[in-house]
Amino acid sequence: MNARYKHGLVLAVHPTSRGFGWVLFESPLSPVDWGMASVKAKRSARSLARFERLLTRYEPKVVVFEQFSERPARRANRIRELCRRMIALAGSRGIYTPIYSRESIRDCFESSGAKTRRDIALSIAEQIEVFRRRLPRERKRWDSEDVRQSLFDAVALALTYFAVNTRGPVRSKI
Amino acid sequence: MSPLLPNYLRTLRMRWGLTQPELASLLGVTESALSKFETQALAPTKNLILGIEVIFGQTAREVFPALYAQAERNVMRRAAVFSSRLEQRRDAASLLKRRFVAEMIQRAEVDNKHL
Repeated sequence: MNARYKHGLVLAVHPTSRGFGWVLFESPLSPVDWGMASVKAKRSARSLARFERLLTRYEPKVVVFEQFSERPARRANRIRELCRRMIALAGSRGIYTPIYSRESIRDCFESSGAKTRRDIALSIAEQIEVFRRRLPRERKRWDSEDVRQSLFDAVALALTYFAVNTRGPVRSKI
Repeated sequence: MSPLLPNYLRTLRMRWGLTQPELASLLGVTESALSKFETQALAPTKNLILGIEVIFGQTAREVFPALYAQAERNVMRRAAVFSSRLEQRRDAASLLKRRFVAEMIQRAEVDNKHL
């Protein structure tokens, strides 16, 4: 396999209170599938089942997570437990599961001038055309978070994985 | 596209923002059939393969790498048998056919070098 595809398929997931956003890359800046798994009842069990289906369908080599248990990460107990179970499930299939802090993600996008999650989402939308139309509108103080933000959080995680393991920080300007 | 996924139907559809009903109507298949093609519950038909090439301008090899690899393996196996049958012959036509088969095998090897 050539250098472009040396990572195999890389899946990044970002659990939220309403499910999880996920994206599958075959090489940097080359997403092959993505989506937002939405669950309403038995959220952890159903999220885990959806995650398991993704693992079975795509057999990724890597599943990337955001830091969820150590400070300064602030995730709900349910999300922390869900992440632990997802990592255990991926680990049981021999999948590598790197975890990156929000700080690492910010460092990765630093050269593009992105600091907030919104900036990072804009940077992603600029670099990868397919995500442009998925960009959530800017959030007002009184708005709840758009579910599409979890997709961009997952993409940021995957790009951080590629940046850390291949070619340095993400470069384009926002 | 790389050969990491068995097929890239869903990737292409989503890349262009098409819904399953929209692509199904362009292909002249049902939504349910398209869904099965995407998840490989159903093997792609020749109409689907040609339709995809017309719609997206990408070859069967690019969109269905696993299917192409399987067809290629089968052809190469038969080519080896065909080539061995030609080995004893020295006439001009057989020499031409041997060169043709050798070139075909070499082309496949070069194409798959990155795998």
